[in-house]
Amino acid sequence: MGLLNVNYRDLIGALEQKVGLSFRTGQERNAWYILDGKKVLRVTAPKTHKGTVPKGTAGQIRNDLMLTIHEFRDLIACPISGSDYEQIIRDKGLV
Amino acid sequence: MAEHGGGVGWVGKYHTGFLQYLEAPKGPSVPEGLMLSGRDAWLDVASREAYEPLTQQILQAAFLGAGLADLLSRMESLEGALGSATDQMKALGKRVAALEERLAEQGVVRNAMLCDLGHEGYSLHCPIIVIIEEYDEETVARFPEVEAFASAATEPEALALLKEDIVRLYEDLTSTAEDQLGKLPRQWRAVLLRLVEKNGAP
Repeated sequence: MGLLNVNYRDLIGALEQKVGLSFRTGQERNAWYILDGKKVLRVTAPKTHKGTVPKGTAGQIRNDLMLTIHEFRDLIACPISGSDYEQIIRDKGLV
Repeated sequence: MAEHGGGVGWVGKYHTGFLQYLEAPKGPSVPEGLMLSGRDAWLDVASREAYEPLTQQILQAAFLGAGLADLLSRMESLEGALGSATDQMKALGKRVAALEERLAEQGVVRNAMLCDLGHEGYSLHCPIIVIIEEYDEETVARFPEVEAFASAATEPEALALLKEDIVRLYEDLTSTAEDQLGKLPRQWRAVLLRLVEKNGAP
C-alpha cells in the first residue's frame, strides 16, 4: 500500500467529522479550517467521489492540512482526533 | 622422504605432483592407515614387502578424499554465507520496492509559467512560475506560495483550473477582514495583492 493511498470516503469522513471542514457544493471545492474565528488553513477537496484519491491530490490535501505523511495517515485511520489536530496546528503557530 | 622404524612405516612425500618412494597394498582403493598431513602422505604398515609402490592415481585419490572433506567444510561455510546473502537480498528487495512506491508517488515534476489569470476582471503584474506534477491518473498544478492547487487529466486543464483557484483565493482573502485571517492566509493575501491586479480598479 502506498503512503498516500487514501480512500475518498475515509478522507472526507476525517476532514468533515474530525477537522470540522464543510465542503460547499457545486464548483467550490475549498473549505477553511477556522480557529479562534480566524481562517487558518484552506483545504481543497478531491474531485473524485469514490475509490482512491489520486496521489497528487492526496499529497496536496496533506500539505493543506500541514501534516506529515504519518500524521495524515493517522488522521484518517483514527489515532489523531480533532482536538489532537487542533493542537498540532496551534503548536505550529499558525493561528 | 622420511623412513620410520618400529614397523610404523613408510613415508611418502608428495611434492607438487611428484610422488617419491611410496608403497601401498595391492588393490585399487586407498589403503587404510594412509594419513595425510599437509603435503605428506603417511602410510602405517608392518612390512614393506607386503606393499608395492603407491601409484600416483592412488595417492591422488587419497588427496581427493581429503580435498572432498575440505570442500564439504567450505561448502557448509559457503551455505551459511549464502543464506545470509539471501536474507540481505530479500531486505534489499523490500527497500527497493518501497523506494519505487515513493517514486511513483512523487510524479514527474516540472515548472510552467502563468502570464495571465484567464479572467476578464484580473491580470497579473508579472508572470508567475507554477509547478506541474504528472501522475498516472492525474496532472496537478500548484502555486505553492499561496497554496493554490488544481487537478485535472491534462496540463492545460490543470493550468486553467489553477488560474480559477488563484482568482477564487484572491477574492476570498480580499473580502475577509485581515484580523480574521490566520498567519498563512495573511501572507497569501500579501503575495496576491502584489501579484494580482484587479482590472478597472483605481
